[in-house]
Amino acid sequence: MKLINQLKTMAGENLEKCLKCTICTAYCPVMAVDPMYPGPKQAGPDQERFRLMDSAYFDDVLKMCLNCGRCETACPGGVRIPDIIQRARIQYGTHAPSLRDFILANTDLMGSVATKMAPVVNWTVGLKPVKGIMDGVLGIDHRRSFPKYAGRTFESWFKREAAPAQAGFAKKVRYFHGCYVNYNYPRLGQDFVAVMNALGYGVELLGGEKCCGVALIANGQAEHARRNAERNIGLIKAGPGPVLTTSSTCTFTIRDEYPNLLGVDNSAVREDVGLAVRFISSLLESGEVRLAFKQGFRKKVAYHSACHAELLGWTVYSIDLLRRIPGLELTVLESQCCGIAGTYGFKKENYRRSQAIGEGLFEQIRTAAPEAVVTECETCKWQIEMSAGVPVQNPVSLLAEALDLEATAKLN
Amino acid sequence: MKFDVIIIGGGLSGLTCGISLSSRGVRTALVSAGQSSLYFNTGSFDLLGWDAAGKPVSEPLKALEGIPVYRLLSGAGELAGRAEKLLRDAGLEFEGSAESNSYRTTPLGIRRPCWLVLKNVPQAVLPWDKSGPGLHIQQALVRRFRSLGGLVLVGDAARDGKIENGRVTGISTEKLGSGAISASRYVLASGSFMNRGLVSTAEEVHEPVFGSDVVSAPVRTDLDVFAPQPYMGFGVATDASFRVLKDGSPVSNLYAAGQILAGNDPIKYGNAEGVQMLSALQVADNIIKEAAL
Repeated sequence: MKLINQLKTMAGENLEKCLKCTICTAYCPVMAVDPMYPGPKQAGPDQERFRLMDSAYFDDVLKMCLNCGRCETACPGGVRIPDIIQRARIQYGTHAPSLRDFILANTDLMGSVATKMAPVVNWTVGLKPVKGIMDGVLGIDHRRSFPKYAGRTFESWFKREAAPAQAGFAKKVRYFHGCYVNYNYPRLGQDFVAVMNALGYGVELLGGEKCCGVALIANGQAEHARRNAERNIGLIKAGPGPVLTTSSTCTFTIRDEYPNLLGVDNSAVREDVGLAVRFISSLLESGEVRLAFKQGFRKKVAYHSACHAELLGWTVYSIDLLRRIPGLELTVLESQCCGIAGTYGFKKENYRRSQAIGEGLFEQIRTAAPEAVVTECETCKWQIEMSAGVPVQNPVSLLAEALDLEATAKLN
Repeated sequence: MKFDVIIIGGGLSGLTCGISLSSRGVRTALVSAGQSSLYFNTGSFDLLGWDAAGKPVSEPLKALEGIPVYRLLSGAGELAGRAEKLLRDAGLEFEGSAESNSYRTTPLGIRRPCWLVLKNVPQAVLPWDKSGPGLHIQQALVRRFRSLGGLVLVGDAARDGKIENGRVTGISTEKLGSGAISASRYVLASGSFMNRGLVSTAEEVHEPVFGSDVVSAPVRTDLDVFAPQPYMGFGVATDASFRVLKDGSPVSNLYAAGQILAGNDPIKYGNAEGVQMLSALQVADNIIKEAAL
């Protein structure tokens, strides 16, 4: 049975298609800054042959992989290299997660506690001595800024302020908000509801969604991630219609990581789950909806392709959407990894590497000097705001800012 | 999303065609399954090393008689000059010219004729720099294409090309699904076996996106490994305007350029990059003329 599973997985990941061309290694952001990392080809298809023979060949150095997926994007043979590496970590990893990894990855638990005391928590984690303790005791680098917690969760706001009005819409979409919008930045969720309503769509929540689990997978808590995945897929299956997200990583995790890494079957609903920008861009393309913009709206922005957005192949929709905004001065940045890779960049042992990886992007941003950087990924947002000193907006938030919502509602 | 032209394949041909079209205001998208095969280029481009009789060539433009693909070009000398300019405009400094071959020494100590040699390959100094001539060339060409307004869809594979009444009516891509992108004209620049432009099974060789007519050879049961191997010349059949043939007839809005073209053996003739760039430029010209763009 084990052999059959291995063969099936290998076939799915196209291990045998690897030509050893090494393009993946040329595009790996980790290899570019840290020669200790063996690179995607070695860590992936090369070593997998040995690991399949004997699990003792598993090496912890695989932790250095960002799971950014740029190797897979580069591979001409369609080998799913990040899946090979992440699955090896899940299958052969021997260490139990540390307290730090538990804290960083359990966003639902931390979020629900922290939002109840948000002002205190936000103030506390910003204090130098506290950062020092987190650094020394837990291994969370003291230089990393923590995203602030909101005083009220998005779900709480939605139930009270938005839900009643949604019933009035004939067309509906469902929203997977994710833990960042819920506990840290409900504003993005509010922008999403405002934009969808203006386009003539009511918004519904899934009713008890859990964090998509990407951080749990990366931090040795795959079982917990699997439970979250089963629950989320169950909720998605329970209702009709598309499920939209505003996070490229949540989308990628639900569509691809659930079946490929966690063995959770989402085939019945995978095509229903997608980024809001793709949905909106398609509506505009077909002429089903129209947009009305604020008079004299002007903004200079730079678009950043988050690694998972690039892996999904959907940055074209974001760029298409941004190009439709009159008065927007748009620079499309050359696609480079920001280096934070979710919880990765918070860890002391990774911090310097993260910053080195992202430096190319930060330099591009400084040169472009935009008023804001636009991207779908929330952890890119933290990294770019901290390291390049420029505010970062989700394309949906930028759209909400640029639209004359009332006029748009009249058009649709 | 609608484009004037969609190019399938992001190698030297695809990028050359894309740059040539975009520089003339044609709205172009390029779909590439993986990063470009230019990555493997060693910084040296070939125009013609050996003629049809197998003799070494010192002045390529005088020896094009009987060379496959080159016969279909409107003016090889002019196209070669434009190819050299295209590379210069992309910020690439090459030495050499189409008039007369220069010579490179290979790692085995053999002198090989070549057309252009890259000067000043940057060495990696800063962590995020990429070094290596092929990567440098590729990045310069992609940057140039994007600066002219071209869109690159990287890491996405084109497939399920629909042909109805002798025209391409649509394609799918792996990540965008069907109908997400479309164009009035398409260029197939998908390379050869390694790039999945051609797929070989035990029974036959086919072109996976459109099922184009492929020029190959019958199944062989005797394998003499020392005989000349014809597979290098396998490729897609086209008419004299580089339009792809399907079931014997040209598809009116589908062109082919580069390694995917049938009949050429880039190793035997030493003309890989020449065929890739010159056929791409010719296809761009043919499209613009035909569409009166």
